[in-house]
Amino acid sequence: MVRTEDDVGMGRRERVWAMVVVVVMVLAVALPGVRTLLEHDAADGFPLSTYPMFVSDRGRVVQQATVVAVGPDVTEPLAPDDPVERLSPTQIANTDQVVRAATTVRAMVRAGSASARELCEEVAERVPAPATLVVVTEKFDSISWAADNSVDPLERTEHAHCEATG
Amino acid sequence: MIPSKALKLERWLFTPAPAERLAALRILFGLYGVIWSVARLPAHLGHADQVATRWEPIGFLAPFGDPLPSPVVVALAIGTPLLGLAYAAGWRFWASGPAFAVALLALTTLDSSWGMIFHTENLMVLHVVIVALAPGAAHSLSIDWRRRTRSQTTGAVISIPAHGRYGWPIRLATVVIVLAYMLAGIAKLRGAGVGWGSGEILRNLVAHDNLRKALLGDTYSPVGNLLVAHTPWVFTPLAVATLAVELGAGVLLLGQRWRTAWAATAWLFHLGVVASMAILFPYQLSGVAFAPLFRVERLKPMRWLAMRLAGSTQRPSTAAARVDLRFSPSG
Repeated sequence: MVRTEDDVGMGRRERVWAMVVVVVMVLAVALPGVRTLLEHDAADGFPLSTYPMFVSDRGRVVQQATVVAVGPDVTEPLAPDDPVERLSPTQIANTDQVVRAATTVRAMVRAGSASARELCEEVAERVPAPATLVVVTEKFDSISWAADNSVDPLERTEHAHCEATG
Repeated sequence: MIPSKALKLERWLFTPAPAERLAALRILFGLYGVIWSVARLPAHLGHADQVATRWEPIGFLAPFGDPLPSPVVVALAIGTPLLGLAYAAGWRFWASGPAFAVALLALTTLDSSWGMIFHTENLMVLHVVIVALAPGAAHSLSIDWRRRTRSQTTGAVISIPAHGRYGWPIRLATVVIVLAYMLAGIAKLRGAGVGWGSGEILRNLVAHDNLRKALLGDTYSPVGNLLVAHTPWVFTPLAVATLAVELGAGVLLLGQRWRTAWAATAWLFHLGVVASMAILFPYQLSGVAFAPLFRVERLKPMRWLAMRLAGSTQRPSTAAARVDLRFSPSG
């Protein structure tokens, strides 16, 4: 067994390097959080984050934009109690991340009917025909839904519809 | 005259730690990064097929006005796990360490550059970066070390004394855990005040998250729905516990018993999150996120690896040996 001889100790250069890394890293990680104390809606980032997850109260009545499928050649507006088929995040937004799919649909709906139509046609390529796809915003009482998943939405608003082509 | 508190802080930061401990963290962080990037390979390759108008680059990728070209996406998706293997193995760590850190940062930032910022990989990236910047990270349990000791000695077994150069990255990795959790707790209080602890917000969040998953055809938590619908009172202690775990992360700086207790509680917290909301924090649930809090060099696989490497360099020798440990930022 041989022992090493680290006779240089931790030299000045090495110590300075370590201190620089530590100070920069601590400041970089802490600053976004400090900014939230000064600006309520400080911008989030990655991997340096303000950690805004689960902060805001959504309330129990929730409006969620999504894309649903119904039988082919449906032209009448969907009623809240009309049955629909739920599409996956991959079909809706070409992602396996549901939150990203939700963000995408919301952004396209907010951008107007032309964007909603564009989204519908994009989704149509990923859903096997025949089916009618409808971009909707559904309003639910989330607590009632938790108690009974079969409850209908309080409201269902259509933004665009198109026929599946996949 | 340097203030005594600053000196105490410096002494704490440079508390000696075994080279094997830092090396074990390198292996754990590296292997986790490899497994993560392989498991997410289809999703990462899918970034090449996204709609260009949805590109909202952040952080590291913010300067790129257009989505990354497909060949770059493919190179990142495939190259990252390969670099991770080199990082974990401590092979040419002076290059593979920073390269893996940059690739992983780019890949995870790419995941969050399509209109939605994710928060499940922050600690993983920060830990990988910290170890990549530690010159001593490949001084043990590594191909570099094995090669170096063979070339510099007659092949006798080498022991590395505990040293501050192996301690400060571990301390820093711990501080980053403290900051991440405390900031999450502070954000909740900043956004909603102490009322966040009443449980009503948490109940609504659980209900909303499960509903959103259902409306977008994803897996949601029936356990969460049961709690929301039938035991709303449980969200008060759950909310208080959440704030306690997050704001209480500072106990990690107190001692091993506190670290063990907090890590166990935080792990249970993440288990609760997956049970009630079907939201997975795999880095935490795997335990790797909390590895800096423990003497991971004592894990059986690490001890086996150390014995294997020691055995492979052991040859009869009576000569004293000196190993060059002079510092360079590249290790």
